[in-house]
Amino acid sequence: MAHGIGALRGLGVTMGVMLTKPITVEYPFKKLKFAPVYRGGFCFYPDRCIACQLCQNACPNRVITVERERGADKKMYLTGYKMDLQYCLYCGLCVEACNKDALVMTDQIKLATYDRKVLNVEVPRQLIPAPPPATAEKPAAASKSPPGGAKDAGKSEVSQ
Amino acid sequence: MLDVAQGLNAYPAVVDWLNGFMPNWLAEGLYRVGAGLLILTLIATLALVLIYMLRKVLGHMHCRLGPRVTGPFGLLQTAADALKLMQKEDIIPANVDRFLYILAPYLTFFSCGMIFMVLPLSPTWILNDLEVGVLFFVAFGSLASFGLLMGGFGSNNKYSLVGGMRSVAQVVSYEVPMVLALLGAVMLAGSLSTQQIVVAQEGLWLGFIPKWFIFLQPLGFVIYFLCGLAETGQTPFDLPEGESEIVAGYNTEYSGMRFALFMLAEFANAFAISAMATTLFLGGWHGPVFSFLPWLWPFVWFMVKAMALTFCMMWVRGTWLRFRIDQMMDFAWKILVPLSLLNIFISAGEVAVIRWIGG
Amino acid sequence: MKTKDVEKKKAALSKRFTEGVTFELPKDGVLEAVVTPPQVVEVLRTLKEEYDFHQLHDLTAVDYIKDNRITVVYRLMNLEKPDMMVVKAPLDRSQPEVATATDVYPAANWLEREVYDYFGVKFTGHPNLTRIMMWEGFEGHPFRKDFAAFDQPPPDYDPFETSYVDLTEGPLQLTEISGNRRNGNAAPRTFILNFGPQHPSTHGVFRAAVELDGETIVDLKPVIGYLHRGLEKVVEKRTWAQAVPYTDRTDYLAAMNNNHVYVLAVEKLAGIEVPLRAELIRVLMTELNRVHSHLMAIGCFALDTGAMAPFLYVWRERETIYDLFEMVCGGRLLTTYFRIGGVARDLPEGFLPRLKKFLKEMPGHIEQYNNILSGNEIFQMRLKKVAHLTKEMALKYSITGPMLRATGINYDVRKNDPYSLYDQFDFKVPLGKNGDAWDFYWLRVLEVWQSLKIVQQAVKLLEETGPGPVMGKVSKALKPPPGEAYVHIESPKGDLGCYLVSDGGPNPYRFRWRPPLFINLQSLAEVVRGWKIADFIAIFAGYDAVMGEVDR
Repeated sequence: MAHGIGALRGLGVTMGVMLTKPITVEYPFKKLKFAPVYRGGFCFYPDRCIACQLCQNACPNRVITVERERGADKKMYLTGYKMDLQYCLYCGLCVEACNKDALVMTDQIKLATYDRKVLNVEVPRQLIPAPPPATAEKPAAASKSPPGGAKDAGKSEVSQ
Repeated sequence: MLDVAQGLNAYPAVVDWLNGFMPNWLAEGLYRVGAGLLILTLIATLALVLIYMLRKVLGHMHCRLGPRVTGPFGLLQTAADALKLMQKEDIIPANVDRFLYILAPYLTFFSCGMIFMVLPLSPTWILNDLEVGVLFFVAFGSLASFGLLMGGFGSNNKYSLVGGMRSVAQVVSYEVPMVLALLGAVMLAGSLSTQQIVVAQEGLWLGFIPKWFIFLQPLGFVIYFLCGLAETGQTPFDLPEGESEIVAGYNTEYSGMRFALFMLAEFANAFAISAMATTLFLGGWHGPVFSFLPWLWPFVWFMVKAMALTFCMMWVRGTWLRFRIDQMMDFAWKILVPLSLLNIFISAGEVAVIRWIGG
Repeated sequence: MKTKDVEKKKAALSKRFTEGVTFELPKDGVLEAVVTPPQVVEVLRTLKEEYDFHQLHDLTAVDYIKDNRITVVYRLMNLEKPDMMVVKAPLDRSQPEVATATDVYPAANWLEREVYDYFGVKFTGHPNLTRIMMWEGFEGHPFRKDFAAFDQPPPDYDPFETSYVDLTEGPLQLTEISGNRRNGNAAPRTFILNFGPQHPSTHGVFRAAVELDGETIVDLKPVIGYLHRGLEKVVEKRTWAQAVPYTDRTDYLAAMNNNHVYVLAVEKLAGIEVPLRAELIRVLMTELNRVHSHLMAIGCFALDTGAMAPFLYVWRERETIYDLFEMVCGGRLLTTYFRIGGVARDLPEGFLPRLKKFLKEMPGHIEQYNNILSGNEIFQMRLKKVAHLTKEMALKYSITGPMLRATGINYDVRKNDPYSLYDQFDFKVPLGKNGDAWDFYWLRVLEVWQSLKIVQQAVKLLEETGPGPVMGKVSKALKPPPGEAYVHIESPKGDLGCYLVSDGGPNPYRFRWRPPLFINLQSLAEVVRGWKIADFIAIFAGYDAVMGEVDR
């Protein structure tokens, strides 16, 4: 305790901070905005997916399983899309690998669950566009839907 | 304004009044039970207010908001927490010394509750104006450390034991400069009765400076306040429960209602120290009295002063950090004790000067 | 960093040890001496005493299963010159055994235990050759290439059936620290207090069994491994690109720095060119991350000495840095931003203005910390002249980072072995004098200033050079040529190294993380011996331990 001036100056700092506006917000009532590239929960657009399996190969932990079948026109078609999110690092490498914006990350942050089985998610069968019949002439139409066009109709968001 | 010389003490007045229609032993007993309940209510209410205040003050000092959600402005947060603590399971760990473990929180709470008996909240509002009020306060103030040591020893936990030992070392060391600092005020007032000390501070110097002892005893006040921080285990003397070192010190093993009692005692003690500082140095309940509800104003002034001092304690708590044990001891014995001895000489000089002027 | 006087060293060593030593000189110019196992300690001693390699920089091993050998790699450094050299000891895989180097370099203690744990190499004469990350009783040595745990289902056991471990017996060998009690003291004066693994100020799951005499620490035994996740082994099963998210998770307060050392090592191994803009962004991000990590250290100093407010003020600024990270890569704590050959994406719009605003406000904030914390006499009393780390001790235990500079040794990888673009930036390396807790604290404050200075220069350079590519040409399925690379950088915690061995495949053959904190922590017992409990907490704050990196 040399002279105590420094300790008194500290009191000044806390009083000053007390009189200024707090920086925190009341979380559930007010929410801060996330950056557009925020890595939160996933959102998958089955209609954009071309079943290239790039995301599956990019994933360090083999979270993603892309099931596909060769259609009559020799192209690959998606038949199932599974994610086992309990192993997910949320590193975003899969989203980066996707060329068609079929797999994106949202700003959803409430990802905690009570049961790890819930984290084993699968895109419902009925949301995956069926491969065109053998006689179809233009098979690749599904992948060209505009971004966000089928957002509400075709998306399968990972949520609880 | 009441006749100060007559109506200072509630104890004889109330007992006399009760004696009118019941036997003496019943009147005495009734008064004591009533006083105990009153203290309990007062401490509980104060703790609710103080804990809310602490959370708000510290929150804003930390750039945070503090409690906001439970009730308007989060006012009910403390009540909710108290409710939660009350309905918690009563856990007594396996290998504790049950007698000491169970007794410790009650002893701590009891000793700080007793202090409230001698606090002159207003000219008539004092439960018992003892002739040795200040001594009583000092005695029960140091009794609290027994509770902490019992809790620390009885918990059979090494962290608790270290915390308990620290608290005893601290209270014993800081008792000395504290008593010496109090002596200054006692000498000036010429009485150990808390009410008499307040009465002695009545009036103004030169027409505008209140005759508070803090103006005669600035050194004594500072020493007393620092010792008070140490006595109640507030930052920078929160070694007994220094959370970054010994987890929670003496109350590591406590939970539920027993923990709540320790916490209540801590807050009640902090308030008692501030209230005593108000009584001895800040003129107690003295202050301007207005015609609207004249009996309430002294109490208001007393509370305002005591609360302001409690706020200072919180302010310090939000800013400073913790001493190390040897630094804490050095501070008591090498700095505060010599200074408080000096303060006694100063007070003696002041008393002599006042007598010379007055006589 | 190239080895100096290669020919001279070669000649002298081969003259002394004749055919026991052969030499290799890879492209990066660090001389490698391949020594027959019986002569290793002698070679190390010669190098230490005659060539001033006074620091054992790293000690690790690689399992070459095809050649049936396990090679122990000793990496030696001279901090002042600076100079680096590698000594390799190929051991027989069926019975790997080599004499311990702890007599020459005390820092080898934990490193050898780690190699024993991972590879089963027996270091004869080691004072306490027990497992350090795995638990005693673990079967096999996980980093051997034929270890098969990944193919087996996890063991089926009841988590509530864990046995009670007596502190004074068994594998922890705490009896040795309660020597006082056995040496004829009838009444036990000391008792053992178990700090952690769950304790408010052990910064994670660090555990220290402390022998106390009253409040004074008689002895201390650090126990680590509670956060061991086998990251290095996990990465061996990932492709080169997939390893980046894992590096985040070592020192999770300095994810960008971890990314940086890893991508630099892979780029060195595969010979990848990185565009200028990407390098600039990397420097900017690593320095921001250093600010962030040091702020945390400063806040922890405050918290551990009992003040809550400065800790939360520090969080306020860290939130801004988190926001900046979030803008650029989407992650806040675990960024995964750097990629082999560049960075994941260019700086978004609005990033630089926000950063500039932050840089403008930051001096005021540091002033605030100084007012509330550094200027506080109680804080100074708590830290000044507490602990005395000497130069000799720092070298003995291979301490790096701010703790090393607190002793007055001028060693900062950014200056002494410049990597990335650091030779183009103007900054100073703050040095301490006393090696006390105050120096540990104050150097971090000063380094925040220097890092801000570098960030400012990086912003200026970024604006001058204008837009450009942020990704070099890297093949999608990267397969670096067989070989090895070692890169070390100055992370906020110390000299962070990454040692990669490639066999030409799609995965790293060996991924070795030189964790500065793991190596620094060895000195803890010697530094805190004789101080009080409260001092131990303050000194431990000076280590700025992040258990994610210690245990990996």
